Amino acid sequence: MKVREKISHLQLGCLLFGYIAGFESLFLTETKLMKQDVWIANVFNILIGIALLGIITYVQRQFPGYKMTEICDKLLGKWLSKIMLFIYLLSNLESASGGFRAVSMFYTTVILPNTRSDYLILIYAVCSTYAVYIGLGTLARTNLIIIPFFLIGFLATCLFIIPEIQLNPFLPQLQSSKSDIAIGSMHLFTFTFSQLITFGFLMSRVENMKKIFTSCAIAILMSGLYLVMISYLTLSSLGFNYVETSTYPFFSTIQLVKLGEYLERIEILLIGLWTVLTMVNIIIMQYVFTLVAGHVLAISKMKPFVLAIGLLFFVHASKSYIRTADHFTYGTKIYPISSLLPCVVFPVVLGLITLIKKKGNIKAS
Amino acid sequence: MCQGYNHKNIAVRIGNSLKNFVRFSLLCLCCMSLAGCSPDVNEISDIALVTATAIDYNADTKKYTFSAFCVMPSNTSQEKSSTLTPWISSASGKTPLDAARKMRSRVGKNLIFQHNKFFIISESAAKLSLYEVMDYLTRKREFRISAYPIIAPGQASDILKLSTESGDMLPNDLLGQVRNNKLSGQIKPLTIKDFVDLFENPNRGFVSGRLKVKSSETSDKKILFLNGGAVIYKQKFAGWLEGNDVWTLNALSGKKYWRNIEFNEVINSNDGLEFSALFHVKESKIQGNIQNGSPRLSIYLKFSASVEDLNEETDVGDSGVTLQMERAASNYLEKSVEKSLKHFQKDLKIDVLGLSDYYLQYHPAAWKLIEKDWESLYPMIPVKVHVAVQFEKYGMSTSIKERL
Repeated sequence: MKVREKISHLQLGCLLFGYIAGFESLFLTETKLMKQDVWIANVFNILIGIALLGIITYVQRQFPGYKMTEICDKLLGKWLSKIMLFIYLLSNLESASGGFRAVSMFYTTVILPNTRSDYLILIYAVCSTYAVYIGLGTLARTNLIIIPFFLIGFLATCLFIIPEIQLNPFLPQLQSSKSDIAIGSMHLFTFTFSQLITFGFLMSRVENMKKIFTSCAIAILMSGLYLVMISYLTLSSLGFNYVETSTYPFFSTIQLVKLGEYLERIEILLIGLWTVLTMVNIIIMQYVFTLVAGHVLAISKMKPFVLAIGLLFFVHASKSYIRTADHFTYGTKIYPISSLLPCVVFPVVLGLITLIKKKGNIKAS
Repeated sequence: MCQGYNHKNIAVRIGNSLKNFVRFSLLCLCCMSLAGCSPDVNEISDIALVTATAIDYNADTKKYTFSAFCVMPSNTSQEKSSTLTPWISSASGKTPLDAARKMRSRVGKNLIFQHNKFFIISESAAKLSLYEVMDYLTRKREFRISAYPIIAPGQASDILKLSTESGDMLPNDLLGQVRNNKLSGQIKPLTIKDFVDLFENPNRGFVSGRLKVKSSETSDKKILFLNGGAVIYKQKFAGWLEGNDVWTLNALSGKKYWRNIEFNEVINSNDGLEFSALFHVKESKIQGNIQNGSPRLSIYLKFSASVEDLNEETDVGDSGVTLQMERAASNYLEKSVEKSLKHFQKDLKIDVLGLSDYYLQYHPAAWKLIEKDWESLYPMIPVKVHVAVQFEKYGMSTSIKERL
């Protein structure tokens, strides 16, 4: 792992877009729950995401020469910082394992039904470990190459799906119950912008720190827009009842893409692009895990441990969420709560302490 | 000195890049070789493509029969693709999966269902066990959601054995008939995706494809053709619809269903003029409201039309004549739509048009009040039909002079 290779603010924004767009389009749980009102969850998600981004970038800007892990030490003290970072590491590991499992489950359900999940997880873990080994700069550049292809694929999907649209997906408005709105919004936030803290650990690697907020806020808006678009595209082409039934609604939507009458089954190309972006999600989690683990364990050179961490991710993923039902239950009922401390409370506490210390310094001076 | 240092630095960078490239290439090579280990690998010589499937249910034995119309991929077959020898494989079991697995285990090929375009479901299976059948078809990833579930009277497996008028393979011929629906609009070819979406709706019924068997007019063979529809209500088969009613249904469904349809009708004008015309739906709109708890509806249909033949000398270039013809065509189509609507409301008493969906989407507050009484309210809803026809074209001639 190359230690201090810098990336641009644009590359960080693109990484954030790839991170969200890849994984979140798989299940569309909030769309199944809120249907025509899903835009509410997305608006909530974007607003809270930008607020969280504001807090994290504010903390980073106050300590421009420091990594986020070092900032935690400064603000929370060595041991409290270690505890919080350790909790983050646990959350990171469970998120990444969930990601590995989600992709392998998708493949074993839809494309390779006879292939073992462990075998697929091993391949993903080998790829992600190699990506962590070659470093953030290469990952950022690769992501920049992939995103245009992904966007072209998405645009083509939209164009080919338009003839399949058969109902107004926006009506009737505001029919979801308050509890459904709360659960849907929280679920969407948990799996998307609550993970901004992960990007907080990469902010010290950005060349122009002043532009991080703008580029990441644009990435948040674009990701939100993408999620709204795929939700309504799916609802209008599949129908509300089918979306509720389908395990992978957006995949069912792209199954409808065909050229003329006979050229069907081209969804596999789009799935290929989507898989690469999901890999971006997993790689970022593993990369940040390696960075934070190095700090917590006070290891200056993490390169020799990259393989060990890759093995840890593989073993954890292959032993977790064995049943599909476990994965769904964990994702909908446990993870939205368990991720609150490391992903929301942690950055908010850092922001508050930074603010208090800054005011204290101003008074003292 | 400094320049030498830069050269050295560049050389080290290039060396590192090359190393990375070699590492990446080796990794790709390893990953590619791993692909061969997957148990999902299918040798093309081992597969047979299923292009149509029949599902039967025997109420006495409570067993399902799964039959598949199979062909070999053309590049492994000894014969030309146009003369492929299809065969039918069949097996029975306690559940759809049980029957399908038994059938697959008995054939000497690995059956691939990804190209299957038709699921022919027998009337008995549609009446008694449609839920189980649809659950199986949507759960299996190899059945594409763009395939057509079609209901057929009698034994569905027998239908696979029948020949077609064109002499082509059965699935190809059926696909051609679906394509040619644009000429009549008398078929409702729902895909599995639409079928399941409507299947789960408790307030409305819907119409799916219907297969008929008739004697050929040119030989004594029995042939298959798609016409009319099968009504599904409360997740069960509820009856048949004739082609004319299906045409109305298509015209009043989403644009996807009427966009390409151009049907012909013979119109009799009051002054003895009889003419044929082609009609194309330009606009289809349902509007309604609820007054004192009773729903009311208006249906607006706009057609563009072209004159195709006349029984007497008539100057169709005269706008007065055209207006008269438009009035006659509008009246005729209005009556035709009203007749179908009356059949849906008074005879079937099933909301096959999805009027409940209209109220749910556009009058959600009022819908909550009428939802529980919908079944009794639906047959009583007054529906006003407004049809407007516009003759845009009259062909290459205005009128042939009659010289008697």
